[in-house]
Amino acid sequence: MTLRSITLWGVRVLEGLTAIALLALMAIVLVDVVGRNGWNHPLPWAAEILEIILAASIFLFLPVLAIRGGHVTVDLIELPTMARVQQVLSGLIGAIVFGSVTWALARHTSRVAEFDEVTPLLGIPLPWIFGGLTALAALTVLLSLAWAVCHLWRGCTPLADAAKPEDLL
Amino acid sequence: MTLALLAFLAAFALIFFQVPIALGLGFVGLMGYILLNDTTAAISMVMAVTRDVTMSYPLIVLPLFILMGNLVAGSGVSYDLFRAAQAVLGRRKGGVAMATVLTAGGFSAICGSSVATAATVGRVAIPDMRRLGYSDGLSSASVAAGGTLGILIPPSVLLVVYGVATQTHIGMLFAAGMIPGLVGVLGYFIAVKWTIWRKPDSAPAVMESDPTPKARLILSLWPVLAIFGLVMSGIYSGWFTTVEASGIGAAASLVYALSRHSVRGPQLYHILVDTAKTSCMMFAIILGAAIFGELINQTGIHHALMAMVNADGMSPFWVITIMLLIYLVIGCVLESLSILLLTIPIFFPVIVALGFDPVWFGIVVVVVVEIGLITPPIGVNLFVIRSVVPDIPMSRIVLGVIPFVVVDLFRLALVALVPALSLWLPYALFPGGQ
Repeated sequence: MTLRSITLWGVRVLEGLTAIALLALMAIVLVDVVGRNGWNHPLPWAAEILEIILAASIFLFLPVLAIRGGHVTVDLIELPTMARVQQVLSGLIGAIVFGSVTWALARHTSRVAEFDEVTPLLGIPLPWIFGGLTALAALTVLLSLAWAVCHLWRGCTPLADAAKPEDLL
Repeated sequence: MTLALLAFLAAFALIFFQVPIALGLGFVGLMGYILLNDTTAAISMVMAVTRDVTMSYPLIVLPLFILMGNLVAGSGVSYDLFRAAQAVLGRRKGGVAMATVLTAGGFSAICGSSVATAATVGRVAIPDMRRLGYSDGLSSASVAAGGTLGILIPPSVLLVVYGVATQTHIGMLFAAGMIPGLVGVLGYFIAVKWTIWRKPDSAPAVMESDPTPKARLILSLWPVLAIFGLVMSGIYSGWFTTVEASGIGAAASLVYALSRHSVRGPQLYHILVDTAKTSCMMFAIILGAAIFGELINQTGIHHALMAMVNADGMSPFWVITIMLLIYLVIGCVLESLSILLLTIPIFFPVIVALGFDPVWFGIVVVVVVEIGLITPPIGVNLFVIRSVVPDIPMSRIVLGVIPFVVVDLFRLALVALVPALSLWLPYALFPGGQ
């Protein structure tokens, strides 16, 4: 397997997991509302798990955006000669921003691990949750750097899929 | 003040050097915060912001409303909407262009996004209008302008973000968008008429009519009305919250899309991944803008601004006018979510201090940001049209959209000067206010 096919495979796994997270988000809200209004049996822990799934759905997709250069970019001024410099800069800045997020999450993980904190209702261990988010943020940093390196080295074809503002709202 | 201006300058420089918006804002915010404080404080700030943004219960609405819009768009309901609108309006001169605007307005009622509205309606309406002899300019402009209604007529993703950012009641904001949205539809009808009056050959004279009875076409729209009715009545009866409404709406759209057999396994997966992508891009921008916002807050620019307003004895009318001019200028070069997130931390405290209604201001901001969606060079909806029909040159789209922008400027003035337009309905539905 080449590095490229491994990356593509990884992207598909992350996309699939995010798709499942979205369906779960919808399903839990539905069951909660129907249960509360129909049978007077809401899911008391719905809000707790929904917030975790929302965070998961975001962090699972951040690495995909990083390796595809998929964040929203404004291309008002076309500078063909600078194109590579711009991409390298974007990769490095992405690595710094998500580096700070990784650092913050890692520090928070070690704090909640120290006191073995759990979520109030379901008792899910917080170190698992924040540890998972830290790993995904770290993967985002790694892939942002990979994006920068790939644009430095001529032999590399990036998995480009840059988003324009029109992909957004 | 100087510090805040420097931060904005640095962020804009990065954004125009094609650094992604989210990363540019986050980077400047982070570096500025480290310079003003220290690294430890900055990392604590990043943790607090990351947690607030990504583990936010109210923001669950974003992916779910985006999913709802994408599912309904995938179900092909826009064809039914367009046929029904054509049956009602299509026979008069310019009727199909008006039907396009009406279709966009109707689609907005189940879709919270302008781009999705413009793209979905564009795919259906533009080929038909061109076939019938409408000019490229009018065809594309009516879709681009009609699409902007997506973020005003509820549900609206942008109003949700405004509501969460300013802690304004989202149900009231949704209700407040209704009447200005309908005024928008009427305004765009006038723009269509105006275009035809200026250039009579931009629309064909008489149209063939659909033999299907009007009543049947309109009745075929029941699922759209049912989903919109379910979501809105749920919110206004207090039966469920906005978050719950978005989940119910998405689930109902899923059932509808699957029942129409237009969405099957592979398409459903594609819709889910597409939703995940849009939602993640939006959250990245919210995160970046929030980090930037923390820096801007520290510079205390809104206090400086307030002091300036008080010292000069500037009337509230002029304060709003200047803000709207700033929005119109930024609207030409940035996309709507970033504009909203960048300006709210600075403008909102001033608005509240001057005694304006936050619900009213939310609607004014969305209407002015809407204009930015159809003004070049970064008119997001103009690019959407280009991607739907690549053979229409940008210049023709831009020329075609001018009457719609002019009408929109009048609507902006109307919404700004007559608060009752936006405030009557929310205060009728929620008598106690917030």
